[in-house]
Amino acid sequence: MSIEKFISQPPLIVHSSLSQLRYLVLSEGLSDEDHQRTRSHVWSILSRASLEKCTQEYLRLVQLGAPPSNWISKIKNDTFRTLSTDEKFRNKVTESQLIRVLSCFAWDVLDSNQTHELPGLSPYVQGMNVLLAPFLYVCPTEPIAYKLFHSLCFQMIPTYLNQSLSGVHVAAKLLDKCLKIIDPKLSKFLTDNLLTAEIFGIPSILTLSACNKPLDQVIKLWDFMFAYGFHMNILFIVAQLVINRQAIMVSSSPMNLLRETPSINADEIITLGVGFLAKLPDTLYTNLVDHLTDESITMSNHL
Amino acid sequence: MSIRPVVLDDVGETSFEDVESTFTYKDDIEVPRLAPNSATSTTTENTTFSKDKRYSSHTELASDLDDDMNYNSDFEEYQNGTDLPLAVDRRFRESSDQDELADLQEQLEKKLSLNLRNSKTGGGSGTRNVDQYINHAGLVRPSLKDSVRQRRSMVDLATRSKGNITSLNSQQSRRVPNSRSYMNLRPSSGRTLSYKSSMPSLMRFNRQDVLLEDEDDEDDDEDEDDEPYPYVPRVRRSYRDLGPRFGERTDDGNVVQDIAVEATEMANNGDDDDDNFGNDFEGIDDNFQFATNNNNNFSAFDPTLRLSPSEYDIEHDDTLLTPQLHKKHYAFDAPLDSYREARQQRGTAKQAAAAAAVNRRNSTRARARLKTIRQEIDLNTPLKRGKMKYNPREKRWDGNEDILSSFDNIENVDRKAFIIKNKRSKSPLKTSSSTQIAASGTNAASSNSQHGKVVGKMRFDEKNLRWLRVDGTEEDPFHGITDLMPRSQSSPTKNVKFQSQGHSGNILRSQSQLPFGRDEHGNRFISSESTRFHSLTTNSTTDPTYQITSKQLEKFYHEENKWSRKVGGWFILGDKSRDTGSADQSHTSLNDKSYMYEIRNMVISSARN
Repeated sequence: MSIEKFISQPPLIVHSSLSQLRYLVLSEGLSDEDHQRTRSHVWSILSRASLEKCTQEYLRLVQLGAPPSNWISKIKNDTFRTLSTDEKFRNKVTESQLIRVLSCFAWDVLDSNQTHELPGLSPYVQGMNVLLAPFLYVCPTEPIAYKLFHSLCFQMIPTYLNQSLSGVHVAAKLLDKCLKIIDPKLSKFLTDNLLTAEIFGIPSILTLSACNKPLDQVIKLWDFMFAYGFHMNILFIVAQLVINRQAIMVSSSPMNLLRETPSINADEIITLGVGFLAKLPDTLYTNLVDHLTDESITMSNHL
Repeated sequence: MSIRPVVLDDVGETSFEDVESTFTYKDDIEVPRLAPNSATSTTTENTTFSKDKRYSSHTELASDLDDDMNYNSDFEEYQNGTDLPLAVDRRFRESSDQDELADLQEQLEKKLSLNLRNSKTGGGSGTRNVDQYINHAGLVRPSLKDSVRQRRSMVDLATRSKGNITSLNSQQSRRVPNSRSYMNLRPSSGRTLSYKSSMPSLMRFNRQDVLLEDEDDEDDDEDEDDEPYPYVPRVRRSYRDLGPRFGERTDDGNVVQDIAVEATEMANNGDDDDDNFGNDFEGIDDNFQFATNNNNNFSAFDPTLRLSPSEYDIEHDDTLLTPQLHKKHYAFDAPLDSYREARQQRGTAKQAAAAAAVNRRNSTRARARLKTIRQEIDLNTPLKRGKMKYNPREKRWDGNEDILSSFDNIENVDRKAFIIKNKRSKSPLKTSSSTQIAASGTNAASSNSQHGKVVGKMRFDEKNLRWLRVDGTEEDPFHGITDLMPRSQSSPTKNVKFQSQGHSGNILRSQSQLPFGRDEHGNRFISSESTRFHSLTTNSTTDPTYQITSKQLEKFYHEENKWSRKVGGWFILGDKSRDTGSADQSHTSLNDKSYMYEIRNMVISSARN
């Protein structure tokens, strides 16, 4: 409620107001009862994604129809099973919405790849459907969801979605490093079982934990990450591991536990994850921050 | 030009209507004049009393006597005017025979006298009984009766079949009763009318709609009093012509007069009420004549004529006798005049029997004249004006119906224009048949040309919801103009890729702009979406995924506007928003990566504390 009021007042100084908003999200959080519109607005503010003319842009892309066949087939191969176990999501978001927005994104990427050589995002990668799911779940309309999704992909985590998914692999390395620092015992257990982040952590990394359930808890994680950065996703993954470490370490087949993660508790994860921050060295934290947008991190991490 | 004649045809009825309303209106005012009468006070009282009674008795009569009802129905039709021509025609035809009329008059006379005596012997106290008997006796006073019954008849008698009209002559006797009673009950009112003022009102009543509204009638009367009489001149002329003509016909008039005398005598024999009745009866005399004449197509309006001389100059003008449009005027004027005369007559009649004699003479003349007038109006005298011919039955002018045909066509076309149906109903414009439509299914173009709606040179392509030229030589105004690709088509190779892959991905303009060759794909555009945002639907022919309904669109824009209103202040909105992508990017990811350190700084600082 207070957040809703807060964002409805034009900020005098955007920078400081953003800090205030972040802190509000951290301290109070966005309740589930809040109108979905508020959350999408908050997300747009925090991600600095202007929704102006988003509908116009979206319609332009929708007019293009289905993207080239190889992409649409990939999209349709995944969309039908997107969060298929989450009933609330299924009730709210249809597959056609997913297809539509992903198609638009594919068109947009194809389009932008022609003009700019720079980002080189992939029109579609597996997991994008899951990445999109929270937006469609939260946002009142597709254009807004598309715009926020677009903003996330192009500006927040472009390295995760480039042709080689380089950022994801870097994130896996970072995840291993963070786990090793935060919970050396668990890290050793997993490496002894040949379970590196590259094996078990990719889905959570690429989808920014959206692959977890329930989606409502994921949304809360996202609230926090929109406020303080999606690099926190790595620490949240670590937090999940730490939370489940007992079960994992006694399990005969820990991989199944890692794959089928139990329902998450966003507050618990956030609290834990934020607690890890103090333990991380500055360089590692900088790498965490930069790896989302800087492809050059790849090199340094591999070293 | 055709309007006026039509209205004129209703004049006869109009006069009746007018009379009634006038009576009601003037009733109260005129009552004082009755004072000279022998039974002044009683009269007025009786009048009021009998008024109420009159209706009740009338009702009984109506229920008891089918004939009465039939008669009423006749008059109802008459009043309504819709079916009037038919009824009148029949009536006039039957009554046109003079011998028959004479016989009828004799019968009436007999009946009247008989009934009157009966009523007297029966010791019927008050006018009501007398009225009833008189009613049975069948004194004819159609106009009055009509006026009295008007409301009732319109409701109750509406269902009466016109077939009953055929027995008019016999019914006349029955209908008289009511009218008579009415006269009895309202003696003063009938006579006290200010006829002069009412005359103009008749003119007004040419409009049928006015006729049918009783309340309006009264108002009109008031209004009319002050208005000039535009038609008076014509009336005078007509009277001149008619006067000499009708002077011959005194036969019927005599009969009626006899009856009237009888009634008067009987009234004299009675007590106050009877006296009053007698006075009324005197008045009835005139009306009676009128009624009779009315049935026989001979009007009893001679009083009118007689009255006029002081006010009108009477001249002979034979040209006016030929049925013409303007002639109609005297037809309705005459009735009024007759009533005016009646008033004067009444005054005299009250005083002495000598006056009655005078009345007889006058009434005789008046009747004859009126007959002629009625004939001219109501007989099926063909009225012609140029190629226009008046149709008295339909009450309209025939001859230029073809002028309306063009409107019919327009009407049809327009009606279809509002609803675009998939399956075209056969319109008179089209010769297309269902078989043709079915056959046309194979050939889109032909089908379109055959059952598409055509307006001017344009034909509506129902499949694609667009307009095409009838001759089929449609030029694509966008031919040679390549579709705009998303944002940039800088690299030709990519362009090729786009177009080849995007055969289904062609950017669609609005459907109305679709090139001619779309016919084969016409189906794709038929969607449940509203046409308003058709242009925004995608062209993916088979995939409805990329079609956005207007409802969705509305929500899209609504939410965007909401966002802009609510949190637009957090952003710099403007024309450069399209470029803010990079700006935002730099702002958030480059310059503002600091926010990603905020949490850590907070944690570290709090940990230190």
